[in-house]
Amino acid sequence: MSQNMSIVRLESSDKVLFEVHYDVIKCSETIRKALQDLGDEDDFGVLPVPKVSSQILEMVLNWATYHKNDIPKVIDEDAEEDESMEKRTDDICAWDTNFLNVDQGILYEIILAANYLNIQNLLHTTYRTVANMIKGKTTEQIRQTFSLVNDFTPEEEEEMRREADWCKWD
Amino acid sequence: MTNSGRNHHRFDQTFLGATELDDELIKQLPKEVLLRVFSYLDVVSLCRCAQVCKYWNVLALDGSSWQKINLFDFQRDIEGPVIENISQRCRGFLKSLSLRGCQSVGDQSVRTLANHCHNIEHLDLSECKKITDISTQSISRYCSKLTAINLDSCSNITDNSLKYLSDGCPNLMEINVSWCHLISENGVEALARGCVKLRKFSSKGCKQINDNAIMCLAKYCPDLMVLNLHSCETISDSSIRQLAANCHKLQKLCVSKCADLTDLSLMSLSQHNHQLNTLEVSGCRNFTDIGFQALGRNCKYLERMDLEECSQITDLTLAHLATGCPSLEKLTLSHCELITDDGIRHLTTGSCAAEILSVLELDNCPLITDRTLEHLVSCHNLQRIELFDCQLITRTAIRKLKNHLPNIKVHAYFAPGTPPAVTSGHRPRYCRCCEIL
Repeated sequence: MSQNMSIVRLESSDKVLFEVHYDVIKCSETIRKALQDLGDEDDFGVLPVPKVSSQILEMVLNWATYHKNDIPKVIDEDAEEDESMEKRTDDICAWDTNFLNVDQGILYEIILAANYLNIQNLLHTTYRTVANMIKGKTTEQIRQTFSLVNDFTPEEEEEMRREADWCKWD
Repeated sequence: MTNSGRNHHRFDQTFLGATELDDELIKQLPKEVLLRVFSYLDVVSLCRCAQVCKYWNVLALDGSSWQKINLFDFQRDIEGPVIENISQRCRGFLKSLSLRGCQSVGDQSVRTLANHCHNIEHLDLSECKKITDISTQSISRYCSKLTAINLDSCSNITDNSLKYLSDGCPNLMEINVSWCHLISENGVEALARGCVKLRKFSSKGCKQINDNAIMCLAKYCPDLMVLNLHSCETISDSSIRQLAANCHKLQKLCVSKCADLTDLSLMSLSQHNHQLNTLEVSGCRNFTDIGFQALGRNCKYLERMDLEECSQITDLTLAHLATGCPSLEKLTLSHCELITDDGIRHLTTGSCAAEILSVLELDNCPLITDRTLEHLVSCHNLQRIELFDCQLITRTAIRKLKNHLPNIKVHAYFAPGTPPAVTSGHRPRYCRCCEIL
């Protein structure tokens, strides 16, 4: 890998330029693939990130900087073998909890960015964050949390309640 | 990118009257993302999500969120229609289902399940007491990917079930038919012939499981790693010797209450099964120091041993285990009435003593005295010790031990001199003195 490759230049959707160390952004599968495709050229120019705004890209890069020394998540398949691990949502580190303590709109933009950039660890953390916003809430509380509107007819609601009586929903 | 900046941004939207942008923000997330979020939810949360709105209903009930379902917590409420609903939702997605203790589940439900969910790999039907061979017949017909099935306490199950599984589930690696008292050698033979990948077999309390049954497992299933034959009372040395000789991967073996076994069994295990890490032989009264000497010589990975009521063993057994088994973590010697302080001294000078040994059960060892507790002071990792009915142990010695090992749980009982002041109606299970200490 040549010296020039250590700095990667990214351009957000609103045309803001970011310079970032390769070690920081290598967590993004999308960027890594793009760099691989460009091969050994000395100057990559600027990589456009058209789906991510500068505000969100800056946040994602902050996250990636903090986590740049994390051991990459091994294969997902293996993790899912371990039953006790599978549904855990209480193991988000304090830094991430604080980082994701943002308005829902921002949180979802981060998810979309992580999805587009294909940053698995960030995705997992955000999924668990949203899951935690759901867990332990009643149906009505979930609606309030996500400002969702109940569009069932009373008959449909009654039908569902009967059907799932066994898990004691409200 | 400060907080005020973000809020400002959102204020603008509101002032422009674009409140719908604020509402249902989560709808901007694509379906796949929401499905991944739902995959982190438990059954109850999923059901609540399904009630939120029509869009979430479709997503929350999507089979991919339901790959692993455990309905144990809802066992009393689970009835046929629930299983049928779940089967239809999950279809091929369902890989693991536990209906443990869901007693109203019957053959009709299991048939629907098998019919819809062909990819199921793990199925726990333990204590679903209504089910019969009809259930296993449907499983055999539709679920060829099955790798583990638990039929513990499904007492209507007969040999036919094992024949069905043998025919239809060649990938089966784990089966539990404990307390299915109708199971006999015929069923086990069929199973062993058809399911040669078997690794775990458990038939606790199946009195009809005999030498022939075990010999078939030994003959056809060389990968066996875990075998539980608790209370299969008729089995003898001949089948255990064949098992030992053919199944070199054996790691855990329980032959408790198989009282006909002798040292010959222990000797062939020691000869062939060097990977053994768990051995439960409670109530095997014929075992002597000679058998355990052999084990101590060759089975250096032993971690857990239950020797309750191996009443012939003496301090020599402990000396052999102390030298040969450096990984020994849990040792039960209850009712081994010949054990003395000297045996415990051997144990505490052994390679496992200082760092590994964490549980020692010595209840009803009448000869041990306070000296035993003095020896145990060097076992820094000891978490729990049982001393019920060890008449020669005094409170003072227990107090001293606890001074050295502050985290240890000592379970003993001393009859109180006078009736206890507060009677809660229950006799204390553990000694009062220890709680006071």
